[in-house]
Amino acid sequence: MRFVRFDPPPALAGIGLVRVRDSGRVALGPGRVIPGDDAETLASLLAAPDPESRRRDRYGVLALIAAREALREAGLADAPRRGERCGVMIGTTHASSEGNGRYAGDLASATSTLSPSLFVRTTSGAAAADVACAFRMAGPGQTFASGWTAGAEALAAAARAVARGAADLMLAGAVEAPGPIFAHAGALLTEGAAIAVVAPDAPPDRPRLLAYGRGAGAGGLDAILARLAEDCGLGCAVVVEANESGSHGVRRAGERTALSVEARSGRLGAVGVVMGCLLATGMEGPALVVARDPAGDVAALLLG
Amino acid sequence: MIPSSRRRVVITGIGAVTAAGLGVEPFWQSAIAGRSHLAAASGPIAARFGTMSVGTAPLPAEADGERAGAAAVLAAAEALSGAGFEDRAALPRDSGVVLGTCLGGMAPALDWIDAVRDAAAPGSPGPVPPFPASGGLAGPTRRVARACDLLGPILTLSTACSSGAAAIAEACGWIRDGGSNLMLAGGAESLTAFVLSGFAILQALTPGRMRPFDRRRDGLALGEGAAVVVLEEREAARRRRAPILAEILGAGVSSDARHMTSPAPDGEGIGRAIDAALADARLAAGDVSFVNAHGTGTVQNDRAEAAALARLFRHANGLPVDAVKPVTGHTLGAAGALEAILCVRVLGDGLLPPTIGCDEPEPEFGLDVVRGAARRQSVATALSLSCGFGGHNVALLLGAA
Repeated sequence: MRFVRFDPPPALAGIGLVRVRDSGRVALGPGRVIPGDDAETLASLLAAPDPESRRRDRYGVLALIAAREALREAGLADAPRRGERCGVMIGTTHASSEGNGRYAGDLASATSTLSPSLFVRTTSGAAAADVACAFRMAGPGQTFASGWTAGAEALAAAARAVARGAADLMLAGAVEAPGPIFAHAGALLTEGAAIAVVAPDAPPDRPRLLAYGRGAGAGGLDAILARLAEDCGLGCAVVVEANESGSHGVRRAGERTALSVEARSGRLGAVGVVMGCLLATGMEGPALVVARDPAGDVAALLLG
Repeated sequence: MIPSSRRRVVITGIGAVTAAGLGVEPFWQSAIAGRSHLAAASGPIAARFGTMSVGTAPLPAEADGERAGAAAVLAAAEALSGAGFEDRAALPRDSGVVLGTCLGGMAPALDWIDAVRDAAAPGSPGPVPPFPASGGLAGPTRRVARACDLLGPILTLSTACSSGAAAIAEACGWIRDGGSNLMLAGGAESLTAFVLSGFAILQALTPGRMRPFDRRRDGLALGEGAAVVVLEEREAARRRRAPILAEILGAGVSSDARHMTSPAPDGEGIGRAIDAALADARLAAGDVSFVNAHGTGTVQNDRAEAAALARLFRHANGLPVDAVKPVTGHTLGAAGALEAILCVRVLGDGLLPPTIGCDEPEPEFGLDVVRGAARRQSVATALSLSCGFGGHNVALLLGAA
């Protein structure tokens, strides 16, 4: 594992979060629910995606809602944007599992008519393309499909683009849309999306992305913190474990308080690390958000 | 602002598995000879979806498991051996890999989906099988990481048909930022009923020959395989006296932000990716001396690319352009990396491969398409273009070693 610093450190200007609760209600952010008719529209979109609409499978709709919320949180909902200086980075584990499952089902049935637009939805870049089209963001666009670290990779790629001066505004985060197929298999992942606005500047109460580390089999927290100190000369006050399983919500790691996101929220996959950034926002001192994939890959973002 | 002292990225090894054979050499020899390795598909897919040609990779019998991952492991081994790393223990500790794929690696996941559906059907109380550990888009990347003992960043990118080029761009970023001194980068794809049927119903497949930039062009043929390059920080490569084959001068990534499958007819998105790559490399359009086009041979793609090239390069009529996909078929997530390798050979060998099937160039494009026979011409800077569904464009600029 090795850490690199972002220089200058970009800001997380706002984070939009969307979860679909068991009730079918669309929840935004910590405790916020979409008001009025809007909520009904979105909930109906999520409940009954139109198979022939290029924009209305859950993978794309979740991304669109989270992106819109992120811009609103950042106070940029109506701000003018220069398209080629704005981009979209999305992380996901299985992209549109719903689309994959439905297309595979139609293919297996020799009598079904296959839908070209449904096939296109099975490509992982579909959610990033939905967001890019909706918000006219024509700059850098990527989709990371590395597993549960992919949300951190998307945030880091966005931060790199901003730090280098290649973009003025990036929407970056993660979408997991496991769909009914995964529900059959015992809910491997929880459905949801979390997307952040990454920009050169933001109000002082918003955190900045200071450093990013990535590696395979990086080992325990102590080893990760040692790398952070060695590579960047940085430390942290709080550790947020984005994919920690188990029943505990808070544990001690040396002198640092380690918060666990998944213990509170279910298995979030790539979304966990972005939600971890939301949890770390407003904390005293730098926070290290750690994403871990079951395959052993580790990614960590330092916020301060 | 990019610091002038930034770390530079060179290519020290290349590896490929395509319908042309195992290794870069059969691919390159077929490319310069203008030899196509496409064959008519047979079996239930052809019966259901009509005549189509495919480029099937001749994987050796001992290459087991999912095909995109198997091809990627072979391509990575060739690239590492060429770079002088027969002994994997000599690899730097933080070496990593970025692979791109469109739907490669999905075969085990799709089998699992079928099994889940069967298990969930009424009257079928069978147990739901666990999700296959090797399945999913990250499967081929993880196989390469395990086979090569890589402990650095292990990333999977998926931007449809530009994935392989996007992976090279991302890996370059890691080396430039100091996150690693050595990255494998490339792409992998396998031909499955899922992919073949999808392109068939999109009416993207030609019933006849692929003819990029020809006025009679009517679609593409699909291929499978993998392409992997070894990228190293230039000074580190020099210190260990590595064979430096080419340099990545710049990379540009853009989104059409317009439509899921149709490129903007004026090639605006492709043009932005080229502009970004030129700015990244601090080069002017006039510095480019060869273009490897995405060139799928579909009506829309070739028109959009030609428009972007005509707008950006005033010397378009004297700038050689080629499209190499008819040699192996369009290898989707592998294509961008395979064609970066083609550019490495163009830069090293001073030979431009002909574009198979372009017998009557579309006159309105005004491009100097290399066709007929290979052209001997020294190239200092090559531009390679990739465009994917979702409007994901990538431009790579490669320079001679």
